[in-house]
Amino acid sequence: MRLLEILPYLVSGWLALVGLYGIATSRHLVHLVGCVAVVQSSTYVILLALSFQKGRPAPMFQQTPPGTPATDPVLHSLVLTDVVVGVTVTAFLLALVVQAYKRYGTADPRAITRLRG
Amino acid sequence: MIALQTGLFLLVAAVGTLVVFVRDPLHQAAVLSLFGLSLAALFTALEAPDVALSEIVVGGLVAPLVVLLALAKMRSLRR
Amino acid sequence: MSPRALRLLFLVSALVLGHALVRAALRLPPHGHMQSPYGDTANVVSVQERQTTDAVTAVIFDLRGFDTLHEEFILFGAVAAVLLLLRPSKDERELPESREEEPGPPRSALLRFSARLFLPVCFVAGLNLICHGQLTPGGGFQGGVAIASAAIVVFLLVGLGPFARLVPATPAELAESLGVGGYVLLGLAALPFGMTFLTNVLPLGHAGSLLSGGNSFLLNLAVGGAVAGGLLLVAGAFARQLLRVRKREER
Repeated sequence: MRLLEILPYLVSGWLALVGLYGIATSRHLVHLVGCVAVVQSSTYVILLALSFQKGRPAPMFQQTPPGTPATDPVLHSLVLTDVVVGVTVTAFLLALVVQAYKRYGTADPRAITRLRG
Repeated sequence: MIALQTGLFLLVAAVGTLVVFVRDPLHQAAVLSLFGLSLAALFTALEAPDVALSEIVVGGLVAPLVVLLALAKMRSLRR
Repeated sequence: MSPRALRLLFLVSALVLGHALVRAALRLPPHGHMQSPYGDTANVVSVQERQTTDAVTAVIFDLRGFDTLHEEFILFGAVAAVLLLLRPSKDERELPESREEEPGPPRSALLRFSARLFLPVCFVAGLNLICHGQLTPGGGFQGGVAIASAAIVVFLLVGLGPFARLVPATPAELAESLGVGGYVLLGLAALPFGMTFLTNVLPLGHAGSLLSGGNSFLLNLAVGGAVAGGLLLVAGAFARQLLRVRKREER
C-alpha cells in the first residue's frame, strides 16, 4: 500500500504542521514552548524513519556478528545529540518565559506587543 | 513488525496533536511526558535503542520537570 | 489580527506547505527501503578499524567527533544562558538558606528512605551507561542525563530544599566545565604527535573489551560530565529561582 510506505513522512509533516499551529494560536507562553518541542520531534521522527531498513537489526555488534548489514548509525547519532541538546534549549526558552512574565505580568503572547527592558 | 510500527507512528501523531490541543500548560506537561514515552517506543521499534534511551529520560522526565518548575515560579509570582 | 483571521491565514499557509510536504514524501523511497552507503561503511569501519561494537558511539565520538564538539558548545551556551537569565536582577534579592520555611511534600519517612536508596543506585547505573558507551547502547549523553535525573527524582521525592542542598553549584559547574574543556583538550592531545585534531591517542584495543575505541572512552566521560553538570545547573537555577529569589520590597 502506497500510504503505508509513506506514512512515516506524513506523520513527521503532520507533527510539524500541528506544532506550528500550536505556536501560531497559543495563548500561554509555556504552552508555546511545548509546541516548539513537538516541532522538534517531527525532525527526529523523519530522521529515524529514514535510517530504518527492512529486516536489519540495530547497529550494535555485541550480539550480532560484525559485518551484518544494520540500520544507519549516522542518522541515529544526529537524533541522539539533538534530543539532549534540545531539552537544554527548551529550558533556556522557559527561562526567557519566566523573565518575560516578571516584566509584563502576563503569559499571553498576544498581550506582549512592545519590548520592555 | 509492520503493524507495530504503523500503530506506533499513528500513536505518536495522535499524542503530538494532543500536546498542542491541551491548552492548560499544567496538563500539557503531563501529556508531554506521555509524548516522550510514545516517541521512545517508536524509536525502539525503528531499531534505534540508544536514541530511545535518551528520549525516555529526556522527554519523560527532564522536559516536563523544567516546564513544571517554570509554571511553579509563575504561580508564586502571582501571589 | 482577530483569532479567526489568524486561523484562516494559518490554514492557507499550512495547505501550501502540506502540499509541498506530501509531494516530497511521494518521491522519497518507501519506508524501509532507504539506501545509505555512508551508514553501511560506518557500520563496517566502526568494528573493524575502530574496534567499537556500538557503531553509533563510533560515529558520534570518532568518525564525526568534531560535530559532537559543536553540540557540546551548544549545550554549554544554553546552560550559560539559563544561568544568566535566572540570576536575581537589580530589583530582586536571593534569600539565604533557611531550613524552616521550605514548601514541599509532607515529610514522609518512606519517601526519604526511598530517595536515599534510589540516588546512589541510579548514579551508578548512569555511570555504567557512560562507561559502556562503546560496547552497548549508551554513552556520555544517555548516562549524563540519567545521572542528572537521579538528583531530580530526589527533588521530586523530598522537596526542593534537599535538592538545592544536594546540588551546590560548584561540583556541577566543575563537572560541566571539565567536560567541555576536556573534550577540547583531548582533541588537542593529538597535535603534538603530528596528527590532526581529535585523532585517537589512546590505543584502539580489542572490540568488546572495556578499554576499546581509542578516544571514545575518555570522550564519553567528558560528555557525560558535561551533560550531567549542565542539566543539574539548569535544574538548580530554576529551583533557586523558585525558592529563594524575591522582589526587594517583599518581606
